[in-house]
Amino acid sequence: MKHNWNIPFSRRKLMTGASAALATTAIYGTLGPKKAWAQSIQRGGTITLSVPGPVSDLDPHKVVSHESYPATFHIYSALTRIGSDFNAEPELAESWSTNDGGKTWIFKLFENAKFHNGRAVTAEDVKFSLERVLDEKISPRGFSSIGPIKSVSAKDRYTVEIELTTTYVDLPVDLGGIYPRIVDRETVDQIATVPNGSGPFKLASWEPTGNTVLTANKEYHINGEDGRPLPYIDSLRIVPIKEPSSEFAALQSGAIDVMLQLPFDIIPEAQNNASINVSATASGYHSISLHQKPTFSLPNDNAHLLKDIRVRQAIAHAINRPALLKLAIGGFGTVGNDQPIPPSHVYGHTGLEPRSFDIEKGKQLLAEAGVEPGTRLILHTTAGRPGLLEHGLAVREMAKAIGLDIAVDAIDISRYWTDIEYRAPMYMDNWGARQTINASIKPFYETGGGNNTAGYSDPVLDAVLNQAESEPDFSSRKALYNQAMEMISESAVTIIPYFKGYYIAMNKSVGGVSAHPMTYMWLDRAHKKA
Amino acid sequence: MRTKRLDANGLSVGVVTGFTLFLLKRVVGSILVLVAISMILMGIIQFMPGDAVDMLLRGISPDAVNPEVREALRRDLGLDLPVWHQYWNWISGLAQGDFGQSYTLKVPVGPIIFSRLASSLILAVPAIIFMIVLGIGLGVLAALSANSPLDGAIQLISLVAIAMPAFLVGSLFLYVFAVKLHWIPAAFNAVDISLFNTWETITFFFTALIFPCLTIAAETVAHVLRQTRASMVEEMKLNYVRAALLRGLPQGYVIFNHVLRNALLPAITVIAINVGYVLGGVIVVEFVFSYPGIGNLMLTAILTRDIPTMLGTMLVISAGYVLANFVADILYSILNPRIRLS
Amino acid sequence: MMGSAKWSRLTSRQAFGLAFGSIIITGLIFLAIFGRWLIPYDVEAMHFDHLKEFPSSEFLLGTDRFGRDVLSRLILGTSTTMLIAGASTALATIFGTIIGLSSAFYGGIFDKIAMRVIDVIIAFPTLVFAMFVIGVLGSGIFNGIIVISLLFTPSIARVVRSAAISIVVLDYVNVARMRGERTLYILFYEVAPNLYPTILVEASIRFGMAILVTAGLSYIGLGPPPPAPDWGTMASEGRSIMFSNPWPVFAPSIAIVLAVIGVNLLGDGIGALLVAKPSRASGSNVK
Repeated sequence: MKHNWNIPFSRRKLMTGASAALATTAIYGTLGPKKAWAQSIQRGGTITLSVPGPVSDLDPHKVVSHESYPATFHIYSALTRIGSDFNAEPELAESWSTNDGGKTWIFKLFENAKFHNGRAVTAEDVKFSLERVLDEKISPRGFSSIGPIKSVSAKDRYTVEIELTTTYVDLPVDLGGIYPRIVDRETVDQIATVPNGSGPFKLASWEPTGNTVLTANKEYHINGEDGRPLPYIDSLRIVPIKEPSSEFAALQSGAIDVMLQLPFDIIPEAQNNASINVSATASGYHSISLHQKPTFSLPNDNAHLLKDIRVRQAIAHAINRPALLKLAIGGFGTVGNDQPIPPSHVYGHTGLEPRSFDIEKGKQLLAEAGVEPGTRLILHTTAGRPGLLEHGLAVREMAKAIGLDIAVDAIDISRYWTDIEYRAPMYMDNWGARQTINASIKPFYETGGGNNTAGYSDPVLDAVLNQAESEPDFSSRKALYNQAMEMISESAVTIIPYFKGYYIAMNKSVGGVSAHPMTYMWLDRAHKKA
Repeated sequence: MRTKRLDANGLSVGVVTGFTLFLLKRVVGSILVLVAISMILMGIIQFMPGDAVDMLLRGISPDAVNPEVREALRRDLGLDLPVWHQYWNWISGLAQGDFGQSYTLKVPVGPIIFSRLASSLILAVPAIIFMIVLGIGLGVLAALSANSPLDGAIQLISLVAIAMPAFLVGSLFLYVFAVKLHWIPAAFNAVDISLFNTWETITFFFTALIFPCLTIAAETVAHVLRQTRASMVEEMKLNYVRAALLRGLPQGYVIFNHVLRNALLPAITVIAINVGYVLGGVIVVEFVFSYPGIGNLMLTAILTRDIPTMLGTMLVISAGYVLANFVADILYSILNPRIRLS
Repeated sequence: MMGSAKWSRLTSRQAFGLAFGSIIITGLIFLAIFGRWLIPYDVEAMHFDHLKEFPSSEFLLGTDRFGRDVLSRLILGTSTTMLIAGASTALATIFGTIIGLSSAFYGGIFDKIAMRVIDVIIAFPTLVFAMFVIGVLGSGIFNGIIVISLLFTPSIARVVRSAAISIVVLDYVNVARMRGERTLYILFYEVAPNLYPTILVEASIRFGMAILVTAGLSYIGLGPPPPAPDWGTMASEGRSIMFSNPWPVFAPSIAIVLAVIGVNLLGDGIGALLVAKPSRASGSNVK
């Protein structure tokens, strides 16, 4: 999926359901001729989607938990939508271009896009919305995630000009993410309770801590296969169910149609069930972060040892990656090589092999570092995210082979966030995919980065990452990122033994839905078959 | 049951005072207890690691957050105020019926708590009725057939029922009847109730709730049963019972008008105490059955450090328990005037 | 010991119960102390080739989702559960007795205040309050013991107080007071011996409840954190694979039920043995 970033994007044809499902393991095998496709899409009906927790935020610029995304994404459109191949597709912006290699961008909006109250979506609204996101106090989680924006201006009613601080080719993709959704500048005061977006669905009812119901926006500006506006269904119910086994039972009984997150334990059962379809893709990873500047250490945790690269590499060699993959997440993933980008990614480094499972090498490295057998380390983890606890316990077992006694300290997820993450010397972490290559690496490994779980600081790496961020040419960019990946893997500050798979399950009667590597879910192209 | 007191002129005086005074004392006492509880709750929360702003900023490295922004967010929520100030804000709001605004949801907490409370009561009230009826009924049965095989069977069942933790019973029910057999919904909020007509709604609630209610009630039934049986057995040993039977009064009359009445006094205390257990059991059952009640609300609020919701739910639950004890005290005193005067 | 044990008072059913209960409790205490030398496998050892297996000759109760031996974890879980339940009951009994005795003996302001405070603490439904506190302060063995003892102390204090009150006013106590005996002496040598039966029965009931509360908290995730082989935690972990293999849930659950039954039977038996007549308002069903 290479693109030459220097040419302007041509006016895209309206997206069909078929091309949207291309890059993932879609549930449809071959795509039939367009006519047959249009015929099989039935309009109407309600789809019930289950999520692990209730929708808690309706303001897209302030949203915290991913359970709220099905609501905010459907109510509020963004300039672009991130496809399953991580390319930007038109959503509110019909087309976009850059004439200076990616430092200044022009976005042309669809002229028939309207907010739910009837008012047209204009460039002024885009400017207002993006500036709101860039305000750290309003959007502490979003302000740094929408690209290196210097200024946004409305060139005319439907044209937006965005000037960046540096050349950055992935801007359109970042503008399709969680935060930069376009809100109505006139009704923004009531945004927390009476949302007014321009998305394919409107809010019908919201029970805080309970169900959320959305109804179709009949005036949506993007059409479906049959030439009429999306979405195909009449309404969407978002139902929070905390217990995964209850959630699955509800799917089996037909009470819910789509499960946003299928736990690893239940995947085999779902795959064997004739009335359920499972869709899969790759997304995210678990890591053991070895913090270089922890804010605290406990007696006997030998935190200083983790600053020695030989110790870190020794632990990495002690891990039997395929066994760990099977134990922690049932084998539903692929083996990793201690850096965050999977080989299947468009920027992936296929030449970088996973570190070998080599006990002798591990022992040798430890000996070189002067570490006595039986030395104790403490690994902090939590049961609050699936697989993290199992992973930690397995690492403890495996480390015994090279003579390390790793004690596992498991705590609840809330204290994990406040006391452990970014602070403890050695801890497990869990990350999903990010929409751009830059967002996937830079905040995680640059000095002072917002997601630098290992407190890592390497000026050489910082320089490489900065250069790569603003590099306009694809192959040069890829080479730079690959170099960064090699450096990260070599340092072993984050031991990433595998990449997680992401699975969803749905009733056989649901079509037009497949797993998205960002674990997002759009249901405006979903439909219920007869 | 009221003592008539006569003044110097032989006119009855203070007939109502005795009971009203007692009532008043109990009401004031209950309110004081609730106030004390509110202070204790507020105090405990001060020890909580992390606040709502930390939850808002979770997953972001502390190095990358502007401290001024963090402080501004805390100020918005009033988290920078000293404890007594936060307490005062909360209590004065409560006095006007305002439970405050949720830190995470930005909506008033009061309506949420009460709608969730209603849902929990739908579970709790049938469970309590079940507990009283079955507990006393089986207890009387066991007492009347003391030391017989029937009594033995009842005692054995109650012994096991007390020992089985609510989560175990609930999980078993859930797995067998919801997950495997699909007789009851595995998750209540998944079912679209708006699609049902009245009859369907009623049957839905009945079939769906029967197992959670049974789960909650099981252990409490056993407690009430044992106490009723023990009191009745003791009571029946007393001389006046034998005397009444010897005088030729029918056994049924003696049992129900004298023995039962006296034996029920301690049973009322036990019932009140077990209402507290029902409240605890409701939370466990809500967790196991994913039932959207006040218990799950509290657990979620703790997880997200949403202080107004935490305090509100805990207070309401405690208030329910204080109320139950209050009612029990009043009932007890009506039935046994001697207690009133002590 | 005062409150003479008359074996003749027991019915055969009660005697059987007492015997059965004693056997169970003795067995559990034995396992709690000596368990770690008796387990066939290391409780943390994950046998990667034997995940979620049914009981076999190799693993007598099967394996859990990590391939750990269920039997070994069950045995070692005995000590965790016994530790938390036992320590909290012991603490609650000690402090409850002290408070109850002092309240009964000294009366006056101390008594009034103590009773008010007890009313407040008893006003919290136990499990709810435990969840709240542990949810806020964090889970762990230490926190669990503290919270549960705090919650049980008032009930024991109340029971002890009502039993003690009737004794404190007895003549021989007054005689001892007049003789100038020191208060502590009076309390321990004159009053307390009459209370042993009541205290023991109440403590045994509390112990049973402590086991249940501990298991309940662990089940929700507020118990001693993994990899501790606590029974409630084991049941919770095994929940998600119950379809394929129910043993990791059944084994600890049956253990919990047996333990509580044993404790209750023992308590009932001791009560029947030592106490002349159970008092009405207190006894076996105080929360």
